[in-house]
Amino acid sequence: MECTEVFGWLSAWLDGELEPEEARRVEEHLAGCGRCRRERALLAATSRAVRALPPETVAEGFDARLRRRLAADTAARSLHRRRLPALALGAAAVLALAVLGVPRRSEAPRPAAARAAPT
Amino acid sequence: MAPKDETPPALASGQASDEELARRFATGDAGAFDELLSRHRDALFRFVRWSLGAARDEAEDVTQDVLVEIYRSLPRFEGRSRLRTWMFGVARNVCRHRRRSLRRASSNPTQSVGSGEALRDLPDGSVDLDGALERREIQEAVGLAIEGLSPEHRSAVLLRDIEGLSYEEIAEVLGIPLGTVRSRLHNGRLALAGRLFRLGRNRGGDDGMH
Repeated sequence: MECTEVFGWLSAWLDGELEPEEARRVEEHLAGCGRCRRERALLAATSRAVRALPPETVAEGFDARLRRRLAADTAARSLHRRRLPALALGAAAVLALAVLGVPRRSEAPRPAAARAAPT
Repeated sequence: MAPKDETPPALASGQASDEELARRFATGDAGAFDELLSRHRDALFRFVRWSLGAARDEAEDVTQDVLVEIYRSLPRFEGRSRLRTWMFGVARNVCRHRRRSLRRASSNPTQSVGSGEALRDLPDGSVDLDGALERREIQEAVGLAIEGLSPEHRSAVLLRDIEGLSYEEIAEVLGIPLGTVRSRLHNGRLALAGRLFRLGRNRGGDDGMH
């Protein structure tokens, strides 16, 4: 196995994510190649350095802020659900008017007074 | 023998699994969501922060969006993957939408070292990364180096090295093939190693250390 091939597999080897046969070939190569062993050491040190970072956490008050948002969201969705039947009814009425009830312009022109009247 | 994969800490005896909590939530147990929140909110926050390269406040805002979306969608969770993986997937989608609308502060460096920069091009002395930086400086240096990675590399490295996901889980969260997970992680670590080496060398040159 060539250095270039092993090199691409080193991270996965370090993570124990190679197939057994792949891992065996990498290990065989590492046993006889100092340069790849140094590269393995550097990759491992990099991974260790990342793992050693103190895990960041959210600031205090995050959960309370989220709960307020969830409560508002739930209330808004509940209101929407309650309004939905009324909206559907309204839409049906508009549709019915459009199909059946509104006179065609050529048949019944609206008087100017009616157009100006507030609705 | 290859090193063993790190698995997430096991649940304490009697503690409900994430998936069980999701089922309870779907049947009206609001407390189940609180438990999931306390288990996963910080990991989701870190994922958002690393994915977007965002400041803390901004990352918290986006994490709130993620959790609202999880709250809405959780009753529809079908259990085809682990809940944790599914939640990271929700976070990834929210971040993707957010990224389009974010105006990134110009102070946030986004260029990466590039996968073509092999460690073999660095001098042999670079192997001693642990010694190149004073231990108290390592965390700061690692943070700076991580900021310089591309979002793709940052996400992969975080999910593996901080959150301990398997390659298969990372592939699922990021929506990429397993082979791409391998190369992203590898190239991400290479880029990180290169940056850490340069930081260590620069600091050593600046103050005469090492």
